[in-house]
Amino acid sequence: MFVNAVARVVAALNSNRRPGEIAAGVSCAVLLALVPAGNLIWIVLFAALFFVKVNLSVALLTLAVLTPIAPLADPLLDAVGYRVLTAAPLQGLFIAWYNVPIAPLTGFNDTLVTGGVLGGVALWLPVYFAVRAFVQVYRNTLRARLAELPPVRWFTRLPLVQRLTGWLRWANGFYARVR
Amino acid sequence: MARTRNPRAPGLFQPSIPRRTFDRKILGRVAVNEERRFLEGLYSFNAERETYERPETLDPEQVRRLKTIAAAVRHNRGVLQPAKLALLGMIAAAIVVFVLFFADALIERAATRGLESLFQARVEFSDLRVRPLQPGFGFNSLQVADRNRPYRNLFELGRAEVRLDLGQLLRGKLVVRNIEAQEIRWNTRRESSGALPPERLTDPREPEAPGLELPDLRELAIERFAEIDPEEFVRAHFEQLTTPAHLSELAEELEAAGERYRSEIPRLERTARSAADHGQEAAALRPAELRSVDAIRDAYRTVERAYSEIDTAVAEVRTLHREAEQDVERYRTEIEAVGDLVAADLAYVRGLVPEIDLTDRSAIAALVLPELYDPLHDRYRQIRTIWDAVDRLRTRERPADPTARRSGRTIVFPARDYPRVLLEQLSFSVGGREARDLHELRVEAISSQPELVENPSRVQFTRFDGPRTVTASGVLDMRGETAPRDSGNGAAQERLRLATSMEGFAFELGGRSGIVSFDQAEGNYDLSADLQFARSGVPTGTVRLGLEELELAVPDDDRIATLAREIFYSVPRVTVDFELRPEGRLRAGSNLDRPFREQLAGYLSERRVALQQRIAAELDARLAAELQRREEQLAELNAFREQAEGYLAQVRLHRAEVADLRDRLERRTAELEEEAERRVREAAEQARREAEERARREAERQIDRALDRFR
Repeated sequence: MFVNAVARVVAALNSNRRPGEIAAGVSCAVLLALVPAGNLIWIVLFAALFFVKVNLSVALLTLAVLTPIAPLADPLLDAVGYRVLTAAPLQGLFIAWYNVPIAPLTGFNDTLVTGGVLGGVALWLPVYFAVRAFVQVYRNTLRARLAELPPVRWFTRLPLVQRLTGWLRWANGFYARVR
Repeated sequence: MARTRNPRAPGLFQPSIPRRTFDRKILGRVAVNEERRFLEGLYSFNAERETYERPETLDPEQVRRLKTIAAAVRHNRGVLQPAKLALLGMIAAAIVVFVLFFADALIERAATRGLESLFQARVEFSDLRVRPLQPGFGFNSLQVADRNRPYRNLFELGRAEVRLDLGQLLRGKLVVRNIEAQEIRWNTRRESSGALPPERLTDPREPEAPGLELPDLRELAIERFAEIDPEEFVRAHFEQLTTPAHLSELAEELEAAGERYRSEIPRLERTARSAADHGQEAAALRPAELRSVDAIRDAYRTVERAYSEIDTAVAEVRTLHREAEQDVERYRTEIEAVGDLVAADLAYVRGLVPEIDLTDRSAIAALVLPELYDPLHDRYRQIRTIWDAVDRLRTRERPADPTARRSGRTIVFPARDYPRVLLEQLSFSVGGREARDLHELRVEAISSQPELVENPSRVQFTRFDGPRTVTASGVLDMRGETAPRDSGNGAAQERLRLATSMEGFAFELGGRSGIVSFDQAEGNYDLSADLQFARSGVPTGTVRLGLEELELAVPDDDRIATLAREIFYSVPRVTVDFELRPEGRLRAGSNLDRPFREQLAGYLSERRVALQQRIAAELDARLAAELQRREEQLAELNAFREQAEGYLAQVRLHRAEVADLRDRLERRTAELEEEAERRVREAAEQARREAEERARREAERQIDRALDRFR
């Protein structure tokens, strides 16, 4: 399954897709990993992944990789969230939010949620641009060099990868025809 | 000849494309440089026309590649995924349509299940309709069955509108702002059972026994005398008495003794017969005819043996006779002693007859209590049922389970925090006070977390119906009770304070059995109560009952009813006050207590003595029958004793006869010995004389011979 996911990511990197799609997938995954699950914010963000053009494979794989290590950032996120939630100038805003019927379901009054959202949002653009630049560099220069490396050649010759690549190609064609 | 068809390029890649379109909508959406270079190689820029143009004919490989690029361009267009969004929109629309069509049924089902879990009985809505704009719902009727009485409804609401707080509903809290009902009825009859099937009972606890136990007042119920049947009374207490147990024990012993003696009778007969045989054998001897010592000696041995046998028989019979005699004596003594036990038992049973001490007690209260108790108890049970439902609402609050979910610190902001379930107000009002035709009910602040609500739960009920007025107001304060009832903490602090009054009511009663039997009793009554109910224990507070314009019809031959009527008629208004004290004691008093007590005391004393006599007679009859049976058993024992006595006399006679024979043999032996001695003596004398003669003769001969020789 992991090989499958990695193959999808490799296929995405090498396909004719905008680098921004992949970059947005990674940025969204960072945001989702930093925000604790089980609240409305996380659910909405996760659901939004399916309705915008981000690369789902990249996003889900990145999320799966980052989620176990995200708690390492909890002390920092908790401190950020606490400072923001207890900042005197924002109290009126938060009190108003808190009294909005649906707002408590977002769990915004949890320091980790707020810290995670702020951290994720703050990291979103830097991560986006960095990943997008990396994809462009990869496609322009690294791909050709990497393709010549023995391990990569071995990997691309794997029957599973070839089948998957063929299947993805067919699926893309089918999708394009349907649209 | 098959016609070969040139492959067509995708529509996106027209032979001529405006520069702006080519740069922005095509080239800008191609992410791979190779593909981009392919397009730039395929299309050439026409500066005159400001367009990019390609050759009219393309080879199949170019077409295939353009198709791939066209698909990628289409994919890379825009940020949103319209197809998925459209699908989401369709799903949302389907959900909305589903809710609109089935919301009534869903809400009805949810409300029914929720109320059923509270009241633990069937709940039935009729024609429930959701009002999305209100927001809330309405219904034509609501029936809530009584768990304790499945064929009665606890209450029934008519057409009602329920207004909910949508904002709180989105937070998962059911806050009912108002319920406006047009009709409410209590304790109505049901056609079908309102009991829930066992699998739907979420609270399997049995309904709590009402705490309204009034032992003191119950003891005052003077009709208990009339309820006592002497025969039944004696039968009920017979096992506790000493005499029956003693008689039963005596019966077993007598039976065992009789059995034993009956088994001894054959042996006695054999012994007596054997003794008689020995006696006859001995009697056959004729001592006078015995001439020889040997014969006498033989006869003596025979007699001696017979005597010994008979003497053994005598000892045996005497032992049995003595035992029988002692048993008869002992049992007779015990039977005679039963008289004392009977007397003690009679005294005990007499003491069991309840003594109605009218001192410091209200006989009037005792008279009205049976009529008052059941209706009040019914109301109290209804209150407890509703109270249990409110409590069940509260006890279902569960603290959030601690989970291993990732979370930080929770910052609490000031906000109005509502309980999970809150009924802010239920109101019902029909008619007006001026027209003296008003039916009004108002319930406030029923919640699952009373500590989150500013005010305690309140109930206000008013009913004017012509001259009749009923008002009731209750305050149920459960605030501060955070612990569930099951935990046993804090529940004792729960308090319901209920003040109620009823005026202008008339009553009409038929005759009732008991020491006071009115053929008919009519009048007006009013009642006021101020009670506090604890979660456990009996209520405390006061109840005042007033009776006026009494019309009492009594049987002509009923002394006490006549007496009661005279006393009731002696005052224009009868008041009866009950005071329920915290320790469960109840004090009752009336303005008629003293005269009624004085009149009643004498009569009750007579009745008690008469009842005691009847009970004593019944007991005496039962014990006399038992005693008679013991006497019969003793008589049987005595008969055996007499029989043994007869046998004893018989064997003693045989022994005397044998003894006499033995004496005669001894005498005969003596005679024969004397005769023999005499003969021996005579023979010896004769021998001596003959010897002397012979010696004299020998001597004379010797002398002669000597003389001869001498001579």
